[in-house]
Amino acid sequence: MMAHRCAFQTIASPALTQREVEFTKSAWIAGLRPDQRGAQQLREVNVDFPLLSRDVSCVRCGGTIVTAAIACELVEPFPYRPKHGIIDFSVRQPYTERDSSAKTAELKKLTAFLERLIKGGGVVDTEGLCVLPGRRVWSISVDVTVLNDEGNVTDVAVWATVAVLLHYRRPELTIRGDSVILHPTHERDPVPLSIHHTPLSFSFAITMAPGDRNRLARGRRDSQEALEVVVDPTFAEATAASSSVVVAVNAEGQVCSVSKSEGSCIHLDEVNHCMETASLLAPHILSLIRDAMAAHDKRRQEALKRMFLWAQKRSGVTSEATEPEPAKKLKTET
Amino acid sequence: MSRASLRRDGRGHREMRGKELRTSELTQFDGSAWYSQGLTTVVAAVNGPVAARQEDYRKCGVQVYVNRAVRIPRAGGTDRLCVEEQRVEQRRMDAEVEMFLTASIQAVVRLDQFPRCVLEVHVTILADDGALLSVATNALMCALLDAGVPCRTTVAAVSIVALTPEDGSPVTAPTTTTTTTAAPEASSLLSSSLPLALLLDPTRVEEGGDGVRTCATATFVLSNSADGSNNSSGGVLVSQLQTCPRSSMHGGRMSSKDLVGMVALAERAAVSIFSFFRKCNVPLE
Repeated sequence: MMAHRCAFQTIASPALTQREVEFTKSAWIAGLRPDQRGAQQLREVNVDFPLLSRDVSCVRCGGTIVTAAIACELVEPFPYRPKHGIIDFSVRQPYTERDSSAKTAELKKLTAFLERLIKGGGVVDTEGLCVLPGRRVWSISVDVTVLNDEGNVTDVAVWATVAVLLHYRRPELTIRGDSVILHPTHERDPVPLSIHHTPLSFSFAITMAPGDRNRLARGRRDSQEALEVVVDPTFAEATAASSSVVVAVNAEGQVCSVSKSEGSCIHLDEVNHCMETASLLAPHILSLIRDAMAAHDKRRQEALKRMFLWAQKRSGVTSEATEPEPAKKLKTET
Repeated sequence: MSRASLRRDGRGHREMRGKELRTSELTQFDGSAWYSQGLTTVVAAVNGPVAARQEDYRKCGVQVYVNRAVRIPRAGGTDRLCVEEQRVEQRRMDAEVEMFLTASIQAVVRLDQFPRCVLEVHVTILADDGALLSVATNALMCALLDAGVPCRTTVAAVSIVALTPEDGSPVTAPTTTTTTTAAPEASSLLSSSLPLALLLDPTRVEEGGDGVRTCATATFVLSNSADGSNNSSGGVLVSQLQTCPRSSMHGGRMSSKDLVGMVALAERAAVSIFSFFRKCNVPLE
């Protein structure tokens, strides 16, 4: 079972990894988690749009930091699909010498999962990205960069991708016959992408295989219950778990995707429990994304207002056309 | 200075954009820094020095990886060739950034103290709005300090664009040119007697320019002064100068006086970056 896992990242020694695994399993048997979270409790999630432009989002979940960036251009479509736009995903991560060679395979699986979830799941309709059939379509490129990995990269990558797709605005078009006019952002307000639903994925770690749990239940007589399913596993928990399940639900509670690729067998009750827990957690993450979008819009409005104040001074709109003071802004966050 | 000489984003010619710095966020690495000047944002992460197999074992090797946060979108049909050419051009620019950062590390870090080791640097460019080399070098310097890598000095990088001044309002460089000796030939040397205008910390629009007035784009890496004074810097360690070709209208106009003026302006700008770094060094209470 350990051969399927990646090498432990922050603690490179195999002995310490084994101690972490044993401690995690003991905590699960006692009904606790190593970092004192509840079984259905996420780590502290923070959604942010760090730049003034709308095309970069940054999501933090505990120590895991993932950045998603989007780019959009009018291009010629593929000849075999002339009425469909192009949407492309890629996941990259800075490589450290403590990573094993299975990291690239995991990133490829994550890219395939994102493609299945968002393109295959109908979140962005590629037919809606068509401008002129056979000649001009929109091409969207979403790049996910995992800056820091402390477990549960799949969920944070999906949240960052959904946040950047919801927040991005593409330029507006005017189509007259065969001519396409692309309006810059100062001429007309950009248009959001048409997002049909917002799937958010949640990873679950199954603590023990069914045979082990039955053997453990026979062995002990007390009424203390062991944890069976934990959400948002850290790296130590992902290493100690017997299998993992990824469930994606949207805001209406519909299940969009269930993925289980390795590990032991699991009960159908556990899958149902995962789906119910994900349905409970998805509105919280979506409200975080909406709040971050509203805060970013407010920040953009304030920046635009300051810019307009300077232009007002320069062009002499007010009666006293004074020299603007130097606007050196030093923002310090250590 | 008159109002007509302000830039389109409201800055003067000698004014830098707003800076933002965050360190120690990526716990997976030994040191990290998130640095932005205006809209140009770079995340630098440093790992090591770690033991590794390499050719020259007498000093530490340097490996810099540069990634852009977003790629150029794909295209079909004949547009695929244009997209492929743009991607090749972007990879070439990333290779230039890699070489510049490698030269900066070799100039600053005491690599001879770590034989048989490799220093790994991962640079992620979140947004590029001009002055990319200087922002990446500043982010790298903060990441090296965060990682505790022993350095000879601290550096600050400044980007400057030199362009021909407009006819209405000449903006002079810090150097003073004496025209008394050229008085008998004033009619023939009138065009070359005007010094170039210098823009500090250019945006992407200013770097590209209008294709007519831009003469050169330069990036200087300046070290800290030895006596710790706030009035001077320790000199240029690494620099990169990119001039317009001679065949363009104002090409080939770079002279040694203009270069000295650019270095002087960069030294004065580096003092403000060093003071910004010192303000960010407040310990957490």
